[in-house]
Amino acid sequence: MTTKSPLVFSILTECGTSKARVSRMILPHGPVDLPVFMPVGTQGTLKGMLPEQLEELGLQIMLANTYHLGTKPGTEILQKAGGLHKFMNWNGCLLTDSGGFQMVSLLKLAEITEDGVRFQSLNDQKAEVMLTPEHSIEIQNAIGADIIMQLDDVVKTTNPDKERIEESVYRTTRWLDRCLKAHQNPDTQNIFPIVQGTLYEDLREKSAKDHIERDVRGFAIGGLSGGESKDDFWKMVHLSTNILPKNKPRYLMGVGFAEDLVVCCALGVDMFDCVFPTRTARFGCALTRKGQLNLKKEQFKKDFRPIDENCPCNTCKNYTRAYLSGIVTVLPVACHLLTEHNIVFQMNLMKDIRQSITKGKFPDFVRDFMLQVYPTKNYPSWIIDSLSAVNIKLK
Amino acid sequence: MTHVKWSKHINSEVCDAVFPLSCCVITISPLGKPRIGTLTLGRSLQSLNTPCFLVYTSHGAPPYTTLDNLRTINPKLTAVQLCLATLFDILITSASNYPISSFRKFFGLEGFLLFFTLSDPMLVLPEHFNTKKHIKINSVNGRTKISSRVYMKLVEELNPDVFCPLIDNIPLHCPKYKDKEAVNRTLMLLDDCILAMKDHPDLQSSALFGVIQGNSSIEGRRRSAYETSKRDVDGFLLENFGSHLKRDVFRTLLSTVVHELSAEKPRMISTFGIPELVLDAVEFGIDIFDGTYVPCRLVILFLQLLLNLRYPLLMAEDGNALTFYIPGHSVCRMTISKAKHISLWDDIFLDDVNPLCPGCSCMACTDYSRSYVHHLLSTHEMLAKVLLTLHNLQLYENFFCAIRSSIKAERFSTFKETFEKFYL
Repeated sequence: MTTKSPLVFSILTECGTSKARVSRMILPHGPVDLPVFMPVGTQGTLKGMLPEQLEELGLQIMLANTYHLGTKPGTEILQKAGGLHKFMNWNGCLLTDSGGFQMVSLLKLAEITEDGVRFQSLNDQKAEVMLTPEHSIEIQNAIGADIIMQLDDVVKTTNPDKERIEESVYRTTRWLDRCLKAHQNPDTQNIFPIVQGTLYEDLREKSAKDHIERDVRGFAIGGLSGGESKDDFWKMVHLSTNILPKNKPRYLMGVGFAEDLVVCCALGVDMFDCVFPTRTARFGCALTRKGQLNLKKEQFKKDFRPIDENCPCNTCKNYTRAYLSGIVTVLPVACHLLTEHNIVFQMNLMKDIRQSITKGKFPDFVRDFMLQVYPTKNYPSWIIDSLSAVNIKLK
Repeated sequence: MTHVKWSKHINSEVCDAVFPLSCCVITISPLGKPRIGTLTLGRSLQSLNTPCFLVYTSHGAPPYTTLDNLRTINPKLTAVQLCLATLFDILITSASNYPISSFRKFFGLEGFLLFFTLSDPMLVLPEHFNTKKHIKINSVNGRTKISSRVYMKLVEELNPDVFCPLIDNIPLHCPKYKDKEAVNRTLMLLDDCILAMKDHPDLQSSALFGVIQGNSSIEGRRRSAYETSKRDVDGFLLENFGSHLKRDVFRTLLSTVVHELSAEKPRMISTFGIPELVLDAVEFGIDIFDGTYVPCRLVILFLQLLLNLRYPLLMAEDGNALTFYIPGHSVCRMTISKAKHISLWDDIFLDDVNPLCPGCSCMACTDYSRSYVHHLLSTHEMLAKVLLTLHNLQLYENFFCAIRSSIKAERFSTFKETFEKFYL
């Protein structure tokens, strides 16, 4: 009996001008329309939102963090609960990261060796813990996400040491092989490798080409979500999507600002994740196509418009900026209301992107979108350059 | 002025004429004071079955859940309590400039029955801030004086179904002379309010509940109840009852007050939400309770009250799920102890895959486990309190449903006894 592949990917429409494409990915827990933005539910919950609410909004896939869940509640509890889906009552798709990024960014005493990452645990015992590719996959197997990430040797883009970066590229590939070997559920969970190389074209190329040789069903582009200049950023994304095969999904990690999403879709990216929309909601910020609204400001106390007149979310249907401004510093519920709006904002943006590609109008969409963000047309040069590289001219 | 229609048919609930104004039908159980009734409120002609509780809100929303999430609760909760104490700033800064005339829409409260009071039942006043001439209210700019005129204007714009007049709100513990003064001043303010109603025709279809003060003074309460009863009010709010009082003391107070009140008008009581106290109050004929027990548990100790501005040991806020036994209804099959509530912070729940309260049919208990809620609390995630609040509201509503059924079946005293025995 042939088991169905845990990831079935099909391109539906390609934009004739740029590298953008609309596609569909079918995972064990359901279909996902691409390009997609995945909100981050770090600890197995999305900032106060009920999974039922998320389902109603049409959310198909979200992220959870291996490092956090591995610590609390831990693999034993997750196994006892039957996996994260059951534990948190989420019936859609899940993607987990490897835990590598958190460790390097959150923990001061992380030491990277060939074995894995050694660090001092944050729990009371302050024990030394080692996160190895095998251990990361073990936790991710227990969590049970549809897509799981390899443990990678991630180096900051601001690190100039080419030797170190070269080391990280080769090590990432070796760790990929260890992950693939340790993986217990190849029929229900998909491992995605992560292309590294920071800002060195040759190293990125090497990393991508090595990963392509492995039997994987999708690819992630890593190490590009902080510190580097936007000019370098887009070039690396463009390079990566040129090398990675078209017939498999490409996931750009840690990218979530609206304009970045639009540009990277044009560059051929299919999946994104970012804490930004949900995190900024906690600080009282609502997202609109024209920019962010900091609802704590006095000016909103008498603004009786909804956050966005065109937004279909419950928050915009029922409440005004004035009301939200009044409760944003006082009620925890304000956070839920803004989180819902921001998630719907991101989802609508992706939906508009997909629809415009399907209709063959993606370049027009991009132009209209950028005009909304930059009404005086003073577009940053990186946006002009990156779009130009895929044949979209901003007037 | 609003009219009150009453019917003394035993065991019948139907009001034989529908008034466009606020009306209330109470059926008196033949065995004594507990009564079930239907409160039909003029503004929206929605009815409320009593005894019942109101959903507590702060700034127009329940503490940890959106109004939208309330629809997971069955039967639908439609009555909410709003208080000027938490609404004042947002009313003055924003709502009063709202171009649409209804504040309800501003707060997203269309479709709900609104009960409006001055004081916030979740806040224990530390001192008496009102002076002989002015009632004071807390705002971002410090304590502001509020006059009857301003108060009535805000009430009119809010357009509640039930409202209380401006009162002299005092702390639970005051020198005796202050209790007495508060009763007098509250009566004066009530008279002002009734007079002012002429200038606010829109309030004609809102019900006015007179507030009964007096703290723990029997004579004070009696006088307050008697005098308030003489005025043209549609119902009563027994304020500041304080569950810190000894049982025999508050039973005497309840009895004293109820004796003075006309049977056909609904009675509401504030901060009296612990299940055993609810049963006592229902026995004496109280119809409406506020929902402070759901987010918070009332403090019994006198000293703790003095030290804290808000009731400590808050329920949902502190990670507690209500799990008390409702006789004849769904039994909470506690595997741990006969606890009235459990704290999900407890490590014992780390790997407990049971629902919060086995036997409960609420969304939180059907789809989630104690283990998950414990995880949410220990990672400081907001969803914990959402789930706990929704569960607690459902259980509390089930409790009131059971109370109503037992009165209807003339089995209330058995119900009450069974409950009390279970916890002895």
